[in-house]
Amino acid sequence: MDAPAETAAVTAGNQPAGQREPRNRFGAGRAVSALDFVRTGHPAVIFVLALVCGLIATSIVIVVSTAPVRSAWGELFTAPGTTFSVTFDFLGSAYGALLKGSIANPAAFSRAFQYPSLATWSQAFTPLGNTIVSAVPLIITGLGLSIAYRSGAFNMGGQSQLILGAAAASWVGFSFTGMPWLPHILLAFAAAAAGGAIAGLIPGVLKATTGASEVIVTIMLNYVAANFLTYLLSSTFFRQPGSGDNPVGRVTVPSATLGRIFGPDLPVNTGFIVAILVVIFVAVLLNRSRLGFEFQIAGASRAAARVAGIRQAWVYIGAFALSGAVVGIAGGVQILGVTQQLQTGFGADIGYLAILVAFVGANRPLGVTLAALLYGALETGGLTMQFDSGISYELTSVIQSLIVLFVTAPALVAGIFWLRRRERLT
Amino acid sequence: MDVSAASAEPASAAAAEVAVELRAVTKRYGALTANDRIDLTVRGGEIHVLVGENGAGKSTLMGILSGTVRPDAGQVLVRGENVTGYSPRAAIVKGVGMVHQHFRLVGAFTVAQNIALGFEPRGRFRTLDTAASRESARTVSDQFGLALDPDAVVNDLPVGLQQRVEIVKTLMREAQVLIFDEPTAVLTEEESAALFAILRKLREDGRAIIFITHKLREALALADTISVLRRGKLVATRAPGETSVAELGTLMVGRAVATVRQGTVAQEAVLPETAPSENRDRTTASAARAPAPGDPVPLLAVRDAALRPKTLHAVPVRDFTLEAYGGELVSVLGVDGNGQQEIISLLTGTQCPDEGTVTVNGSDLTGQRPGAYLAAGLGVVPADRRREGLVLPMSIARNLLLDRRHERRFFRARGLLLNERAVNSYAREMMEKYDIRAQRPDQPVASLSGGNQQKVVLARELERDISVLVAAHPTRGLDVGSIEYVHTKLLELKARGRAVVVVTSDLDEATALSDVICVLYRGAVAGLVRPPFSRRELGILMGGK
Repeated sequence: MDAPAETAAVTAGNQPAGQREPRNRFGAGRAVSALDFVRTGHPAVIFVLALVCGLIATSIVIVVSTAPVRSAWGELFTAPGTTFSVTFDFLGSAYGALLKGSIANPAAFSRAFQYPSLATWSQAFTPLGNTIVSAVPLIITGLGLSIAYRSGAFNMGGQSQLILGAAAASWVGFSFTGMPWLPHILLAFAAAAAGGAIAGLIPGVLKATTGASEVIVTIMLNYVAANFLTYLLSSTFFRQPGSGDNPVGRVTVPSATLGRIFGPDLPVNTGFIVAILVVIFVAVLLNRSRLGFEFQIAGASRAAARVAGIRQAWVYIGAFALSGAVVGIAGGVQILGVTQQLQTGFGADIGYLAILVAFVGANRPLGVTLAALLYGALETGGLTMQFDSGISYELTSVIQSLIVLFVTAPALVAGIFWLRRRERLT
Repeated sequence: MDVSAASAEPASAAAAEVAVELRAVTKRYGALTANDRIDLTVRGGEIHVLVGENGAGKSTLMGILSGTVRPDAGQVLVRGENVTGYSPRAAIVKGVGMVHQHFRLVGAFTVAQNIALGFEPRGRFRTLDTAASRESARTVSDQFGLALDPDAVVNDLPVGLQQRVEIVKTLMREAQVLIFDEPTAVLTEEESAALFAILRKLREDGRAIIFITHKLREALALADTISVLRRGKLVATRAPGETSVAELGTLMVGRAVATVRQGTVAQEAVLPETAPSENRDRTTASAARAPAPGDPVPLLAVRDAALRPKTLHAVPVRDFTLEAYGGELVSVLGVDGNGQQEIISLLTGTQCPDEGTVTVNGSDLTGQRPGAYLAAGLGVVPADRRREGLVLPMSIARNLLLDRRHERRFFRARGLLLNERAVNSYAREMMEKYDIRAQRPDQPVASLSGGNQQKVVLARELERDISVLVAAHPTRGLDVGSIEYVHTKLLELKARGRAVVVVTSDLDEATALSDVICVLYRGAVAGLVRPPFSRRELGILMGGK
């Protein structure tokens, strides 16, 4: 490793584990100073700067939309000190609440140090736990989608694959009684993967055999799957007996439940371990396996794949099946670990957010994981922000969107921060 | 420059206004001088034909004239006004119009819409006046006898008519100087004849016409003046009456023969006028030759193949037969756009012939997928290495494996996982052996120079266990050193008893390397030529007899 340590550390942020490619990005392979690294606009740098831009833009939205702060700006010329102190106090408390709700509350920590017990420590780690719980399905779904994206297949069908995966896992979870815990869980996940793969195979096979646009087919299948779920819950044995106008599914038996890892007070469930396994699986698939290699040749250059004897049709089918299977596992994690039963409308938010997560994470295992954690943190922290500062929860989706906006426009971020233009490799 | 344009100018146009004048125009690209002090004068009412080989500098010169290329030195004068280095838009305003070889038309639009595009007539309230654009399209096409239906959709038209749309479009902008870049390359005989009639009409109208072509007979039939470019220099300007195909061919390819390794190029000899029929005799004789002793089965054979065009600019292939035996290097030589793409796709299995058969190593693979061809021992150096030969964002090491994904040495866990250590050490070995200039095997091939990228492709294909290699334009865009290297490697492969097929449009390359040259013209074999090669004869075959 001839690059300085800090370079390597930041670079690794956007790269899959164990891969040595970060150094490739500097074609010459010479040692680069940290400043050069920042100025050449590495994707990781762009990402951090996009985050900064997003927060600044959000601050402006907060200032404009909050009455007391707005009125303080009316006194900008008479009492500028008041204006700025009110603004920074408010923004400080808002972002402070965001961090408290998503990462850690200092007060809870000091209490845990004073009266150390499992309960107080659990309380201290609860915000982080909540972040992880909302990030887990995003990690798995985002990675599932990125398998397809890296293979040149535009899978927009996260929702439908989540639904079929969840339905299959739920069925195994509530109808197979009397099984021991581990075999039951494994069987449920196998069913979830199969369900997701079936939902993925429909657009994959259609694309491979008829050339139908996978974007349109997957989006339309999302609607089909959502209504199929409503049908399952209202008119079939999936329905929980006695549930009223808003039907829910039957509850999984305890042997098919993903228990909590760190005791009953911390919400983190075994789904987190599943997510870590999925990250490892996808990293190996994309960076080390022959199948992933073939998929990516087809994804990067269809012409090169054809000359190399790779059949595009099989790539579409294989990539969609694998992508759907992984997304289906995310559906299983949500059912077995979080909700325990199916609900109408399941998968819509995760399915679409995961597309953004895959995009922001540049379709790389570690990048997607970090992006999912960020989105999870915004989701959970947004609630605390609303509770503490009275800022609308909806604002978190504004932040999420603004970050996506800046990440998708690297030229814009590079322009704002006067970064040198990177030579494009393609 | 010893050539004076005035001496060659036709008497009838002597009084006509000078439409375009280039004075000592020079353009350099790095070490390459694409245009070297070129003087050219074109008058109104004159058809000035420009001939030259690929890379002679024709396109650069026309780019300078139409404003897309800025000259390094010299002057461009349009009707006496110095317009050196003007923009493409200014060129249109000054009345210089270009009819491109690959038409710049919107396929889904109608003829009238395409003609109006960019200069749309407006009605009241600034809305598009479609009636007016239809009307003016009709007026201009009628004026020059260019029959066109204004409401036809361009995609539905045959190529000849699409070209007419392009011409009418140029005329609508009141172009006084019309540049045609190899307009007959895509036309049938009848369409070409119709185009010539149009050009003569435009000449009578007093327009200046610059016509670029490879086809010498066409040049003689059409031109008032013929200028010959060779390696960036204007080497001669002639009136058609005082020259011949033979002289133009010699001027075009030059007498000085480049250094060659095999010494198979014959002295330039003036062929008698019966040359074409003699070539035809050669064709039949070579095609029916007995297989070489010891090699009874050709390693790659295409027999009686026909391929109908599937896309707009595809060239139909007819009666194509080619055999390559072990220890033999066969070139498929032709001017670009005469079916090379289609021949390559037949040879490598990316397209299946409509008629005929393809065999590799004795097994009939007609209709099989490219993977079967590779498995049968075919190596491919694709025409477009950046698009087809390599995956640019991937590392050198990965690119060395693209079509070698079934070789056990690079994989572990029963072929499921890449053996990264083996792959990287192999890549390092290849970088050494093939002199690929790069720092590390894991750097992306996109960061390499063109020559080094081609070496990656060569290393991959030559190290595979192949019996025949199809190399498409293997040295296109490479510097002299890399060309030398690629040629050496191809000859080495041949010396190892493999068959090599080189598809190229470079006459020098073909004559330097080949045991047999198969000249391609409009998708068919124009002649099979064996050494000693006569550049002039090959040039005539390439240009169409």
